[in-house]
Amino acid sequence: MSEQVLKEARREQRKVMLGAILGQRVALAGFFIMVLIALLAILAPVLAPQGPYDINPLDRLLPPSPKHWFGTDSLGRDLLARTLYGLRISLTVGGETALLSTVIGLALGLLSGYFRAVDNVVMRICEGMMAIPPMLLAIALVAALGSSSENVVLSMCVAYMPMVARVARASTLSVKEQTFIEAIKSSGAGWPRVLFGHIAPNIMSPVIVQATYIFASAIIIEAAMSFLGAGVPPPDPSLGNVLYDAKSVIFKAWWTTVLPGLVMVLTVLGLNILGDGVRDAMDPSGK
Amino acid sequence: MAPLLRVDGLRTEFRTLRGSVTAVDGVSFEVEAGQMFGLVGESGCGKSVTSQSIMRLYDEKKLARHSGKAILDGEDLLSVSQKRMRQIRGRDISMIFQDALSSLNPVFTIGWQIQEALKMHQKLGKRESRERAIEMLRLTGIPSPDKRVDCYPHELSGGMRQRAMIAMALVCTPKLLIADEPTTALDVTIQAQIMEMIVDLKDRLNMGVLLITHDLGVVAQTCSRVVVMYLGQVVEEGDSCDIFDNPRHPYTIGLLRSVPSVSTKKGDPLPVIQGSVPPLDKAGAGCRFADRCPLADEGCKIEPPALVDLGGGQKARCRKLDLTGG
Repeated sequence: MSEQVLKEARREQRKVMLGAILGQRVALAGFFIMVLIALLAILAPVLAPQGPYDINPLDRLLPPSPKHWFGTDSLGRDLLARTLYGLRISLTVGGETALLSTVIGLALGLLSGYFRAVDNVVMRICEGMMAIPPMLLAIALVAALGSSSENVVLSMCVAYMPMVARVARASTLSVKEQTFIEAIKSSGAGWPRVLFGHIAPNIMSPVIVQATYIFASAIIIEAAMSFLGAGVPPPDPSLGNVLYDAKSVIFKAWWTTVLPGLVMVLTVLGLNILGDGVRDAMDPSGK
Repeated sequence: MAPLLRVDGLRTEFRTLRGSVTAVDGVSFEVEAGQMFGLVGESGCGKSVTSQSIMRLYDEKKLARHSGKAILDGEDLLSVSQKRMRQIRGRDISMIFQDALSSLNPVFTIGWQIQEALKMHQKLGKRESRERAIEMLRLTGIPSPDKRVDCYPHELSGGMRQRAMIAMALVCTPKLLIADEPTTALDVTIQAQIMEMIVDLKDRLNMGVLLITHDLGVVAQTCSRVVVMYLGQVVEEGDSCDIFDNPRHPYTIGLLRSVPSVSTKKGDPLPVIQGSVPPLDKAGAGCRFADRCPLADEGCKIEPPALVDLGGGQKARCRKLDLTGG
C-alpha cells in the first residue's frame, strides 16, 4: 500500500465528515452564520469605519446613517466599530472559556469515571460548585480576583468546568463497561492508553456539544457580567459593555441596544445550531 | 513435553455485598501448543470466569481473589506483577469475544485498531505496521483487505467483524488464543467458516486454542480435548471422542442428550436436564449436580465426589460411575 492511497483515504474521510456537517440544512445555516461572525471579528480593523476608542463629542447619539451604519453612542464613538471589536473580545473570552473548561473538565471527568477513589473526591467538589449558579460564582470570583478579561475567563472556567466533568464522567462510566475496553485490556493496554486513547474519543460527542453550549452561554454570561460591571473592563469594548453603555440612553437611542444586541443573538444562535450539527457529524455510525 | 498452559487448582473468589462467592473452584487442565481445547458448560458455570482469571482481568484489589496456578511457558500468570501481565496480554495470550461489534471500538477504523494492538508490543514503522494489518486481514480471509482496512466496524458485516477481531488478536502471533464463544452471535454458515479459519490459523501459527463454548457440535468437530464444567467445578475431562462416545458424568450425558439433531422426529419431546443452574451461594455440601441428577441418592447430597481417573485420560466427578459406564 503506497503513501498515495493512504492520503487518498484520509482525504475521503475528511470529505465525508465535512459533507455530513454541510448535509443538514440547519447545521449548514449555523456553519455559515459562524463563518460570517468569525470573519467580521477577524476583519474588524479593516471593516470598522474608525477606531473603537475614537471619541467625537459632536457626533453623539447619531442614528444609523451611511456614515455610521450602527449610529454612534453617547460619547460619539462609532457603534459599528465598537460592536465589531466587541465581537472580537467576546468571541475570544467565550472561546477561551469553552476550550479551557472542556479540557480540564474532560480530564477530571475521565479520571473520576474510571477510578472510584478519584470519583468520590472530584464529584463531591463539583456538586458543591454546581450548587451555586454559574453567574453568581463567576461574579464572586471576579470580585475577589479583580476585573480583567483573563480573570473573567478564569472565573467562568471554574463555573463551567463541573458541568463538563459530570458529562464526561457519566459517559466514561458507560463506555468503560463495554466489551471493546475489555478487549483492548486483554491485548495489553495500561490504564492511560485505555482511558485517553480509547474511552476519550468515544465520549467526545456529548462533550463537544457541551463545549459549544458553554461557548454560547459564556458570551451571554460575560455580557451579563459586563452589564453588572464585573466583566471585561472599559474602555475595551465587549458585546456586554457596549450594551451596558447603551443602557442609560435606551429610550433616546434605540440603535445603541438593538443593533449590538442582534449581533449577540445571531452569534449565540449560530453557535448552538453548529454545536448540534457537529454532534451529528461526529457520530461515525450516523453517517 | 511440557504443556503450553497448565492450570492447576485455579480458584477465583468474588467479594460481594453478601460475602464471598467462589465462581471457579479448583479447576485444572492442560493445553498443549497446536491443540484445540474445549471448555464446555451451561451459562453461569464459570467458563468465562476461568478465562478472565487466567488473563487476570478482574480488579484484584476490590473484587476478585485468585489462588492456584496458571503456568504459561514456565511462568505462573497468577503470581506475576500487573506490569509483566500487560506485556504478556496480547503478545503471549490473546482473547476473542462473542460479540465482535461491541468488542471493536466504534470510533476507530479496524486497521487503526489492529495497528494499536501491534504498537503495544512491537516497534514498527507506520507503513510497516499498516502492511502488517492488511496482511492479518488477508490471513483471516477478508476480501480486498487493502480497502477494508480503512473501514469502521459498523461498515462491516458480522462475519467480517469477527475476522477483523481475530486479526487484531493474532497480530502479535500469540502462543495461546482464548476464544470466548467466538461463533455464538453468527449464523451457521459463517460459524463454520470462522471455526475452519481458527483451526487453520492454529495449525499455521502452532498456537494453543482454549475454546469456550456451550455449542457441543462445534466442540465435537474441532477440539481434541474437552473439559466439562458445572458450577465452577470440572465434572468431566477427556479426549473429545471419548467424551462424546462414552460420557460418564450424568451432567455430560444430559447435555449430549439435549442437543437436537436433524434426525429427531418432529413432535418428539427433546430431553432436558431438569431444573436450572442454582445460584453459586446455594451450592450444597455434596455433589453440586445432585439436585438435578436422575441418579442421585441421599449420599450424593452429603458427600462431595472426587474426580475419578477412568483411564485413557478420561476423568469424571461422580460417585455413581458404575451406573454410567458403558
